[in-house]
Amino acid sequence: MSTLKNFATVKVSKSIWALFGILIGLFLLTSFIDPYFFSIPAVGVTLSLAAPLGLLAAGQTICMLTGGIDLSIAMIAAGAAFIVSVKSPSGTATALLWGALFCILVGSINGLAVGLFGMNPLIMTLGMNAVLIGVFTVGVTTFLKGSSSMPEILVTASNATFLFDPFSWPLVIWAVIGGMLLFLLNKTGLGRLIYAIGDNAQAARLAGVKVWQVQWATYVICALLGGIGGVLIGGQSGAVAISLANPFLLPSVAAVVIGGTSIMGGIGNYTGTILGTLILTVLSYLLATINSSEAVKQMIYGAIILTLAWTYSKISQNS
Amino acid sequence: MNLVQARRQSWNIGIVVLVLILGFWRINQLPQFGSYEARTFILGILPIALLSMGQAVIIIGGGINLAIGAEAVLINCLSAKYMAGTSFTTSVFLAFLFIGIGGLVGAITGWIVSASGIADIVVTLATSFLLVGVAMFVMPQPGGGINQGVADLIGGKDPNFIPPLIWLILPLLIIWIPLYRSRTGIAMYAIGSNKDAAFLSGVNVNRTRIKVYAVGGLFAGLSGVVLTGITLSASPFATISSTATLNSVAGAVLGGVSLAGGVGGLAGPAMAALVLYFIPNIMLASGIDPAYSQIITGALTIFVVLVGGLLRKRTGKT
Amino acid sequence: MTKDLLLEINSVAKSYGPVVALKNANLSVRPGEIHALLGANGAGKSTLVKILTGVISSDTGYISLHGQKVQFSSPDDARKNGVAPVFQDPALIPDVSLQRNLALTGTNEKRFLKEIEAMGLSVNLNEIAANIELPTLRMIDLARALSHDPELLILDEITAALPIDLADKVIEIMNAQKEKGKSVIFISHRLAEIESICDWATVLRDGIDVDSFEANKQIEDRIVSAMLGEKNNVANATRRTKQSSQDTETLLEVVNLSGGKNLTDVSFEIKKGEVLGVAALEGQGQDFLFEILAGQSKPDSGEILVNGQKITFKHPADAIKLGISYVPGDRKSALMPQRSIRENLALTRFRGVRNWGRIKGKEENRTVDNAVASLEIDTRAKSQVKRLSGGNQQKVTIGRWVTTGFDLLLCFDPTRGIDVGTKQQIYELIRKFADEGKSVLLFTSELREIALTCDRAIVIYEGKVQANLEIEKCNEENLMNAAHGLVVSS
Repeated sequence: MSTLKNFATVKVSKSIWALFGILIGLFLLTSFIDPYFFSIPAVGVTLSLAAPLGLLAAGQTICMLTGGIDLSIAMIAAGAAFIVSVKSPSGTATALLWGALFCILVGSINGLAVGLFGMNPLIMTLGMNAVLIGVFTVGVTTFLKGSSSMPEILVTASNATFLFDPFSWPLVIWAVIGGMLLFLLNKTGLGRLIYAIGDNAQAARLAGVKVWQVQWATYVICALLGGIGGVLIGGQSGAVAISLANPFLLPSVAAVVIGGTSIMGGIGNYTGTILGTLILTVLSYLLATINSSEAVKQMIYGAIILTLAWTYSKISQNS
Repeated sequence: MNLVQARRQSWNIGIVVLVLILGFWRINQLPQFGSYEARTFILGILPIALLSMGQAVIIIGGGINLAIGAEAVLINCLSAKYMAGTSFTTSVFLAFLFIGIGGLVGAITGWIVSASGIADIVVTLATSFLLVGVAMFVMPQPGGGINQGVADLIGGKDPNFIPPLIWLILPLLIIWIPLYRSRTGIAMYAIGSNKDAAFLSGVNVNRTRIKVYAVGGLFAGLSGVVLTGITLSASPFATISSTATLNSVAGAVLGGVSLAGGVGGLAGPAMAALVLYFIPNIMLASGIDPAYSQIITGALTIFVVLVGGLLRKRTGKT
Repeated sequence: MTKDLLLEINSVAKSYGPVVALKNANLSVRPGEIHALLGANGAGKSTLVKILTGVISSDTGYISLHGQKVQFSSPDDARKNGVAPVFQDPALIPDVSLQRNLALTGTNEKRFLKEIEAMGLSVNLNEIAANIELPTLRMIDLARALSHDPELLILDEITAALPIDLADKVIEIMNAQKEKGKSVIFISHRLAEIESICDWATVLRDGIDVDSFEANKQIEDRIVSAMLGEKNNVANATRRTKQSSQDTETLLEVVNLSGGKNLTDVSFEIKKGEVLGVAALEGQGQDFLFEILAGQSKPDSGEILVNGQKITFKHPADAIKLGISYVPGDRKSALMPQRSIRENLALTRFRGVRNWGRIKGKEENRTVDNAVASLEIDTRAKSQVKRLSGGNQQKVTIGRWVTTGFDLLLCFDPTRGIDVGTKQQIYELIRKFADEGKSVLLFTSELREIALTCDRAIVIYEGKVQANLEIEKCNEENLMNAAHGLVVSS
């Protein structure tokens, strides 16, 4: 009989319930203002729109758990979508393979620069973001000339209903990948190490862990998650453009922070991020419903991040 | 002259040489070079140079402000809204008021960082949303204006390049140099360099951090007002704010400010803004897609931080 | 409060949560006196200095200066009131020039340069502090303190690892202060210095001033016995008798190892099944020795042989592969504070990409439970190791290697700040390892532990092996004398 089987902390589950409460509250409030929202099709659409953000935030979660951040994830997402659409004439599978290769390449550069050369993750990924913008801006007219629409099958996968409402293909994809990520973080050696280096990289090194390898893997997985999210965004909007995923960058960070993952690393989980994603998605529906301006939306985003980060920081200081 | 000093000097010399090479190259591309062209150069870099300087102060003080672009956008919107159609004196008064508000916003940001104990990145990420939101609230659509006399005072009447040059140099002279020499200035370097040693030397760490962010905010406010003076309008877009923030970090780092804090000055970042301006323009004129300049800016920033970090490792500072 | 005292510290206490740093400290310094403050590591000296200089505030008790009660709010405040400290780690801002460092503390440049000149040094005020060698930097810090004409100068181990000529300068300066009627509190491990220049000595032990006496001549014995205190307050442990470890083969050999700030030349060997003790005062290079052996730092020169094979480590993983495990002195650097006991214990299982896959839950449960049981780790606060007591945290850092297995355990001061019961458990554990044929290299700042747990001991002084003592010779007096650089026959 293991004395240590259950290592989930009471604090974490408490904050998860609090987030769940906020989500339900927001949902009911929105339904009260717009009764249509309280219907299965509306929930289905909301969930399918939440899926891409959920995937980008998934990548952001594992980076932040290691104490890093990936601000190039939106451009990775857009880039993957771009490559898939350009390569689509040679078959969807080939196109997806190219997209994956691109993600692995960019993720590797980010991860190795952070892990081996001790680059500040913020600057590295901001710089990578600028490089990618440049590469694709040039690419549109030169080496990446071609189709700017997603293959039909991917458009379906990004929008169509799965069996019946409120289930949709993007939701299924999100659920499957999210489940895999939860498994990775909670049940695998790599997951343990992601938490370990985020909490204390020095301790991990002393225990014989090659920290750079973990960081490399983290940024590659993050890029792949971003890429999948990007393909879904591309499929939902029909055509791809360089600025495709830009509106997702800051929300991807916001969803993780709302979900209780510390930007200093080592604490948090993807369950929180999923709730953070849903809260942001419902919130943006609510704000659209009451015809609030972009201004109010931005201010509310900012206030939420600040308040929650402050609360989490006080909780961890007092314990 | 020893290793670290040599590195610092060579960095400054390197950036000056780079500016000169790129400058001559750019000038050679032009059919002629006169005060009109000089004015174009300076107007092209002025807002971002001021922003880089603001970011540099904050990074020197051991922080980073991802909302500095948003601060500038907010002040840009405020000034363009309220200065439109005003008299010369009102506009001048408002200009100072809004620059002051920039400083106040910075000080509040610094206070939040100190009081909450949250990482600078998270706080300023959140305030960047907030401030862009406020900017959009102030001015939902691009527009606004400024008293033409004040605009001429900021941007110079074509082809007079002296006023914008003054606005580039004056903040260095009247804000930075006195500050650098004062005890507060030393304290700013001290908290960025080593908080414990700073405390033992009698520095109030939290109060100094607030001052650091306040000075950064003053520069951001100045940048916002100058932008209004140059463009005669304001645009409340989040993309402008995030691009400006990235460029401010790139400019500070390229200008010799160490991300570890405590190292660097403000002249470097001002020069770096020139480098970041010349590269796309030279490319455009050479028939190269200016998008390449994005690649170069990004790669240059990464390279500079990388080399700076490796050098610091070798000279023993961790 | 006595009027003719310069400084009076009365019943000062300070706790950090459950950890008591100072229980009840008293100290009186007369004008024109050089007062030695002594005590073993963790006795509370640095806490007392921090309180006295306004870095931290005390929980109870008071300090009076010239018969006036004072409470310094910051080091700056203390300096303005005539109390100037100089620490082992100079408090200069590394990235800033000396000139600006002086301006920050409001120090007069001319005055400072005069002090520097009086020391026979010359400095360039435009130099960045980070570029200056540590010994010079300490002298600069001292000169800066002197420029403020302090009534009371506090020198916290600044002569440690200082070249002889500079150490002599420090002593000259202290004497000069004394002649001017100013006082000095001098903290040092060098007993010879204390004997020759100090007027009075106060010894701290476990946060209490246990002895205070005039320091004239032949006080070494009194200091040492005051620092050691009652010798039978360690839980019922019997002194070890010699084991027949002589015939077994050598596991690890270290030849002329040097590196870091203080390690100059160390050679020794450790046999299989042997517990080798390492005794040294703070800052003699022992920490770097352990880091080198753990693969954490690289030596400047020297050789390490494991089972007769010369080896070099690029990463701690290389040492672990060879069966060398490291329990660092600072528990914080070995633990993931926000993670569970289980994750901390099992961490080493996942080193190497091949272990990145699915966690073998049952196997992990078994090993983790075994470690918890055999180390008797208290699992009530299992969810985050930062909630555990220091003793339990230390058990987790050792337990990690019990789950992995090792041939040589490097233990750096494993019992510092730990309750007596847990200390006893750790001693027993170390003996158990040795009985199983494993070797242990044990540095400890509590010298009595060497006699309790080790088979043999080396004493390091100024980066060199000062003495190599068989267990019969490992009494505290011998170890303390050798640790202070005195010759002990082996």
